[in-house]
Amino acid sequence: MVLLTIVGGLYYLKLPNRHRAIIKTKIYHGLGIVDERWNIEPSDTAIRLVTPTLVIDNIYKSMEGPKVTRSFRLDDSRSDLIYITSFQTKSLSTNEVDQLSNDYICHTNIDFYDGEHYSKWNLSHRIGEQYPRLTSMSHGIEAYEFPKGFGFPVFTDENLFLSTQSLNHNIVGDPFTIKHGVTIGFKEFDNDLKPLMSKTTFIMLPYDSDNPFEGPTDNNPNMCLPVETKNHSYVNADGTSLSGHWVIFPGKATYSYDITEQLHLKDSTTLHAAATHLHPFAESLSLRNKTKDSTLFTALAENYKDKIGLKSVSYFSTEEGIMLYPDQDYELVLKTNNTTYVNQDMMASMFLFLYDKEMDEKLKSYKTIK
Amino acid sequence: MRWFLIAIISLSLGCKSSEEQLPILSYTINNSGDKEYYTISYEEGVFKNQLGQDFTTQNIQGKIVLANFFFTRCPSICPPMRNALIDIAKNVLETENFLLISHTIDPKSDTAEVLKAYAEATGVSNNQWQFLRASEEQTKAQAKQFMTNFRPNEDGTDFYHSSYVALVDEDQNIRGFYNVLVQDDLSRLKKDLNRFLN
Repeated sequence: MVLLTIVGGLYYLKLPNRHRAIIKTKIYHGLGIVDERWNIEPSDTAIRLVTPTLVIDNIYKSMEGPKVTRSFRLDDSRSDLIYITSFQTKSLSTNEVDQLSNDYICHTNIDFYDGEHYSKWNLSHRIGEQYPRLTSMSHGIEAYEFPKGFGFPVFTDENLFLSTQSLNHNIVGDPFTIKHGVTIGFKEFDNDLKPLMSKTTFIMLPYDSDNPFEGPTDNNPNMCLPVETKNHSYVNADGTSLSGHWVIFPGKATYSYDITEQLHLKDSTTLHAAATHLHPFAESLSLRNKTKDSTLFTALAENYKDKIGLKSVSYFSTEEGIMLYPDQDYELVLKTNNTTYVNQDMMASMFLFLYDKEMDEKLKSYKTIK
Repeated sequence: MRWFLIAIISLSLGCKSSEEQLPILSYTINNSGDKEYYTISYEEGVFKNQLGQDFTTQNIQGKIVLANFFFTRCPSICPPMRNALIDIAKNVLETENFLLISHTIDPKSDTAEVLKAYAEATGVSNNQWQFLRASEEQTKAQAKQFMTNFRPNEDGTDFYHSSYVALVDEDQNIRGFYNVLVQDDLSRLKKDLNRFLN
């Protein structure tokens, strides 16, 4: 037993911060040291999910902090079609009322089960085409809503999945506790609402899979240093290893990535909303039409001057929409400025909400019988 | 006071019962826009199990079923899915009305012999866990019933297929979907399974 404890202890000490946070959260919740319950309050127009207590006992950079996940349905007492129209995540005191600084929010992801979602509408060909992420709220962009007249259609009894992770770039000292409160707003089915589909686009950079944590070198000046190789790592059709979570060095840098394949457009459509996930020291993320050499939207990130963190990230929402074409190429361009003297880590994703013509056709038939 | 207490107890029991109801999820919206409920079925002469025996709707009648799609050479999600399902099967081993069904999506490689060996390696009895094989086209049709699909990856080394399992009740309605690679979802599956088995 003693040996086991020593070996276990040594193993724990060798773990990175994020894995320690996972273990500690399991222990805190499993032993009931802190509140491990979810408080879920559905209503006719929204669902509010308040997480179990998260213990902040350390500096937790992006993607490192204590996190919790759970499946949920908007309202499983009924099976009605509704449109999700807004998202909000807050950092709360453990009394679940008082709001704390959003500096303790890394991100809150909402996923859907694409098998269930698309099968209902006989759109099985879409299953597995891309990761079924509906959206993400993140540090600097904690609340947003779709433009008027648009929404993401789901049935109230569909399975959704929430994952929310805490953050603490600045506060050291005694541990403290927080919760996250997530609110998803929705509207009842309406003939006038147009459906949106979500496309997740993100920057990936090549790295040397044989020596992932060395470089860039003179031979490989374009190689990035991945933060880790187990998560957010991908291999493209050429066999090149790519990372979506990499190290940025002190100073300014610009990164770009062609997202034409991620967009996977089959028809021309319109972009109506865009939410961006960035890490501190990002300055902007632009969506560009490479074919026309034009910038469609730039999310501007405002960094705090007196601490590490994003004060705000701008959001895009328009009823008119911006045209996107399947025969044109698109890219994300990220500008960063690491104002510290040490390396920092970076991610850059843009969740794009496009008019879903194919779904709209399905919904038109649904409308006729209502 | 007594009636007040009875009312409170009734109200709380009512809330509990509603909480424990799992919705029926096996429905589609047809071309007329109507919600159309359906039940899971296996046509005669289409699927065979690891012992080469026919598998039909009769085999699932009156049973609580967990179903997934897999292939034995799968290098990615199948091994951890298999471990999760073994764990579930062993926990409900004595329950006669529980059945696990795994459909191979690679019938060319997964012959009856391969499936038999794979089944034996799980340590779960053939009665408890059926490994089914049919043509790719028929398996795709079955996947559609379970609200999923599969397709080979471009490099040919793997298939896209889901890490979700479907929970089917005694009347062949789908009552839940669970990503068994996510610990919290696995716990939810065990909880929901117990509702039906107890």
